[in-house]
Amino acid sequence: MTPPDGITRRQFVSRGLRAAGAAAATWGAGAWLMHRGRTGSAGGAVAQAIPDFSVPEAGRKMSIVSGADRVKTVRRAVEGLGGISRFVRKGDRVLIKVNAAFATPAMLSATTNPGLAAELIRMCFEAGAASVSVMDNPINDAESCFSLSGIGAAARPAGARVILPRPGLFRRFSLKGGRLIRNWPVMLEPLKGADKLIGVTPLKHHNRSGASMTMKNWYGLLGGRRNRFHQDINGIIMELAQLVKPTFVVLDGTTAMMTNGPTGGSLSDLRATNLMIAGTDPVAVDAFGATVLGLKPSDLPYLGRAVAAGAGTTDWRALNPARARVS
Amino acid sequence: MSPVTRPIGRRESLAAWLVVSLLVVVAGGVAVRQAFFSPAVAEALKAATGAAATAGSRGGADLIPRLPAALEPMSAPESFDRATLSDKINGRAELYLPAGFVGLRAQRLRMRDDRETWLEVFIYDMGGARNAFSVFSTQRREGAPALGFVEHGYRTGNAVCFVSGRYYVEVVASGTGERVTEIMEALGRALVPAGKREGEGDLGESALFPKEGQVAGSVQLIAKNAFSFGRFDDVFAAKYRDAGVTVTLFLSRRASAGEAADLAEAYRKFLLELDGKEAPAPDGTWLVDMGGSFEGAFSSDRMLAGIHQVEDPAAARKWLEKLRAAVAGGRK
Repeated sequence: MTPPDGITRRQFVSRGLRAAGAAAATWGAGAWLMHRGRTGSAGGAVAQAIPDFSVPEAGRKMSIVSGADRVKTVRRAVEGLGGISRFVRKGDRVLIKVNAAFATPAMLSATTNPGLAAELIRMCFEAGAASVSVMDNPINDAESCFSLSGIGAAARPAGARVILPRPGLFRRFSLKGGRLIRNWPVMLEPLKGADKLIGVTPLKHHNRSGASMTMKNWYGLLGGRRNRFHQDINGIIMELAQLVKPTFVVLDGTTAMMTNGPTGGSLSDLRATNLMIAGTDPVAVDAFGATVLGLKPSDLPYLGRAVAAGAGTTDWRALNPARARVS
Repeated sequence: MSPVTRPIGRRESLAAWLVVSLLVVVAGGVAVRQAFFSPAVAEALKAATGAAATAGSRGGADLIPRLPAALEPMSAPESFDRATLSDKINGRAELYLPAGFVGLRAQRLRMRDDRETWLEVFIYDMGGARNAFSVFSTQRREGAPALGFVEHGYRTGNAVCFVSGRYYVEVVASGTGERVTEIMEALGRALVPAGKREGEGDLGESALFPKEGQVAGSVQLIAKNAFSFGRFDDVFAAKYRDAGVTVTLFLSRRASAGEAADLAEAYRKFLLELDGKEAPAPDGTWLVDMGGSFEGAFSSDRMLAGIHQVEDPAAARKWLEKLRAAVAGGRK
């Protein structure tokens, strides 16, 4: 029987289902479009792999150079690894991860020395790099950090592009087997555009982790409210070591921050230790760096965890580091 | 008469689907936005309830009302609270938070006659003079000359650090030299309320330390977790030099004699659990050999006192006795 309003129960159900289907399809399309364009704290496909920037044929190398002139010592240190051309080839796009964490003057050694950064940039271009960029996601305001640390003013005249953090450069990332870096915003876009990745950072005491060296430098790839990781600082540093396989790292121990790290603040926190350390194994480099701070590798729990995770070795002597002295 | 019905046309159906789809998209967008709570709303709510200033917030009242003429603002004042302190000082926040930190205000200033040189002033509100002394003392740079305008303060080549009542203040310069030092001290004086020296009575028990042999400026107040023992809070420590050897003595006034005695015993057990071995000690005290250094302690009424990381057992016993005599003498 046709009801008075001209619609049967079957028609009602049929139309209702079609409306619901259309609503669901529209919702799904909208959600897909939104998540595809969104980064940072919401949505986005979760990446699970970042490029391995290591150069296996270069082998496990380490180099320790004594001297006060960073321009000279860094050249010598990289020579001790086999030379820059061993790592950077003609046409390479090189990314240098500096430590520009704080808006503090270079003399306080809380950030990568600008002269050192500039020299590394020049070395990469000498080896034929097509482009060199420097990047970090600082703790303080990024523009202030790159400006007041002197890194920006040194990097640009040397030919490098300075990549400041912005939301579009971050992607959600989960480290395979990671407990902390799970669905976390990581500054991945610059890494995707690079062939080689070099880490360069000062050697510092750190109030929480004991030391801030090459493994902790990768903290500057993390976005979001990363201070929550301070609750498991050794765990996060271990995961950072698993996350990043750099081409090589440089640990600047020319003026080591012996106390009140990681920010320091007084020249009296520093000691002229006059060392430049470079290596393809960040764990080994950091293990040596610990001794400069008067620590044993066993005093830094994250080193042992990194070894257990297969990220490197604390037996830096086994790498038979090249030694040199530069006046 | 029956109502006239007619079939729904294709255009009408299409229009209906489009309208429904649009409504779904709008509803979905609203739902998604609501699911991600805007921090701006949180901050507005905080301001409405009169809560402390928020992370990196700019502006507000002048940070330094009596700014020395040689300086001009280089940036707006910033404010940080307990949740955001690490946004400014990263891992060092862990020094301040357990010590009663309330808020930080910071600002960069430039020298008018040398525009390449700038200073940053950090004013930490620690909630009390004792807390301010704690963070001051645990970061103090050894051997730095004292400041003349405060009881607890020093200067280094590029920094001035001091306690002013409940505040711990740091002025950090991007350069060095006489002029920079002069301006940093002028700025420091501008931050200290005229004639006010608060909190001198708050550090009373530190006066019980023996005077002889104490390394100047070495007294520190450890807010929490002294010597890696979780129950040791509010502990004064001081360094002494004795025949070329440095020893550390500690003191802590507890709420009651019972608590002091309990804590002394708990610390002894803690050390034994770490493979320490009991060693001969003066009467009324205990000594534990940690394999390379000695720890020892005693309680006397409400005072818990002891020695830390003393390498020589004879020196450990001697300093325990000296400390016990000093504490007993101080109670008279």
